[in-house]
Amino acid sequence: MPLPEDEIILKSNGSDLRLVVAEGLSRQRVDDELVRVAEEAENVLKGSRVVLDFQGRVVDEALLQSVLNRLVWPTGMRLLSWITLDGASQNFLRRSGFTVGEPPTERGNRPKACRPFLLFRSLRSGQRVEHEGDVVIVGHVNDGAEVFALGHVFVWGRLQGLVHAGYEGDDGARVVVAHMEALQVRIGRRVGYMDRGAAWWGHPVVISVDGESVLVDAFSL
Amino acid sequence: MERVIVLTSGKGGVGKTTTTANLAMALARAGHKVVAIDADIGLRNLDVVLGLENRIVYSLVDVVDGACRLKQALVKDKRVENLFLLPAAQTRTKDAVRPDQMKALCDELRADFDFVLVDSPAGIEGGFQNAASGADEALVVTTPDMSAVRDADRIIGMLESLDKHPIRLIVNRLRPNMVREGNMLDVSDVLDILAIDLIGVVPEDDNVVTSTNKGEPLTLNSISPAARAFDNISRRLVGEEVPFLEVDDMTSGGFMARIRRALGLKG
Ligand SMILES: Nc1ncnc2c1ncn2[C@@H]1O[C@H](COP(=O)(O)OP(=O)(O)OP(=O)(O)O)[C@@H](O)[C@H]1O
Ligand SMILES: [Mg+2]
Repeated sequence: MPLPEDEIILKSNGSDLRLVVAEGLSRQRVDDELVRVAEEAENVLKGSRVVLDFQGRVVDEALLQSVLNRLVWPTGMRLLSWITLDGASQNFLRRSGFTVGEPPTERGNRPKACRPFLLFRSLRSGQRVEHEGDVVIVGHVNDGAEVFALGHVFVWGRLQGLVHAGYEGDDGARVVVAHMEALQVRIGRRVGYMDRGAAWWGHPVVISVDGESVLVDAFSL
Repeated sequence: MERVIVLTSGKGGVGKTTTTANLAMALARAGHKVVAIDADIGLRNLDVVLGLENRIVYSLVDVVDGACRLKQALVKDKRVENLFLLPAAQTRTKDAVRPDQMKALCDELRADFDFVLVDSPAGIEGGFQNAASGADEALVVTTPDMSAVRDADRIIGMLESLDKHPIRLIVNRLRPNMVREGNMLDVSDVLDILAIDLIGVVPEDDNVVTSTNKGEPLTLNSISPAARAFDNISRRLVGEEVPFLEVDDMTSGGFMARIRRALGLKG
């Protein structure tokens, strides 16, 4: 599970490739590493479908240009999507016409089958996860951070930010939180406003939709 | 050993400039050669807090534009050895200095100084990223209220992604024995949320305001509570193990234990 912290690595993901640009890599070295990968892995990359994963890194104009110039165009790879946790970068990439986030699997005519998205870190304010499937955050979701999932959302830490489970209108989605401190949770088409004074505040909860309302249940194992 | 440290915050007005001036003074008095850069371009005020505003000839932007040499723009403090200011220009927009220029400038200063402290504009827009681009380390300043802490969280996310290390926290304007108001947090709440190392807690202290008006950082000669706190931060910066005494006076015992745990110290 732990990846090298200071390089770019290429992983196979079934029929697709995933290129992970480790967050510990300094910005200057990213450019060099892009050139190295483009040279060393040209044969593998050519014609392959590739997801670019920048972890928590900010993807700005300069980085976008660098990636296109050094990696995408010289290798002839097929760019599937960009991944970054930084919300502003996601907006920027979308505005520029790119696909952002985990790509839906394309094979067969199955309904969208996405693996759960697993994140082993905390989300800080301004960071965002969007996923067409379930999301599991092993960390905190701070105030100002956002999680949008087509399916369920599990937060193993403290939830203070915004979660929207079942964002395409699935009222059957659930939000499971180890340490509940969020003032608002959205499920399907419902918005639940939370009460700081409730007995479960700060404790583990399961949140679901019951008819018209959003229901919070304390639970213990 | 030479270190370039950017002082940042999410929200404005939380005490970056005050902290920069006091740390620069304290480090210089301890014998380190220090330059404070005012990278809050367009809003000149580090010069005022340091009391050096009357001696400015050239600015950071002049250096970058090639209108003068770096050495000509540095203002030397007359009260202590080893303290210099690189002032901001008053007139340009916040983007007058590009990140690569800022980085080159900081690298040039490394040759002559032990510490380069960069006072940056608040927030996550271009100005902050430019100011941070030459730094290895960051000090994040926040006040203990919810909105400042949330904005600090945002900045910390950015600093992590810009690969600054270490990123350490200063909680400023803590009011001792304060009746808990709705939005005020205590230091352990702040640490819980931000999850980075604490390097100091500075109390609310009226002497800060008088010292700013006089252009005399407290660490020049004061023994006020804030002066002690800034002095302690400067010592922790150089690796000394200074107990968190200043907060002892202000808070209850349970709190100290949590701070120590957060810092990895024993009971
Ligand atoms: N510990 C303190 N006790 C009392 N007053 C303080 C303290 N720290 C800062 N102040 C006051 O708060 C105000 C803002 O401080 P300062 O200018 O250092 O903040 P800043 O973060 O640099 O602001 P900006 O974002 O505008 O650059 C000043 O008037 C200063 O004197
Ligand atoms: Mg300032």
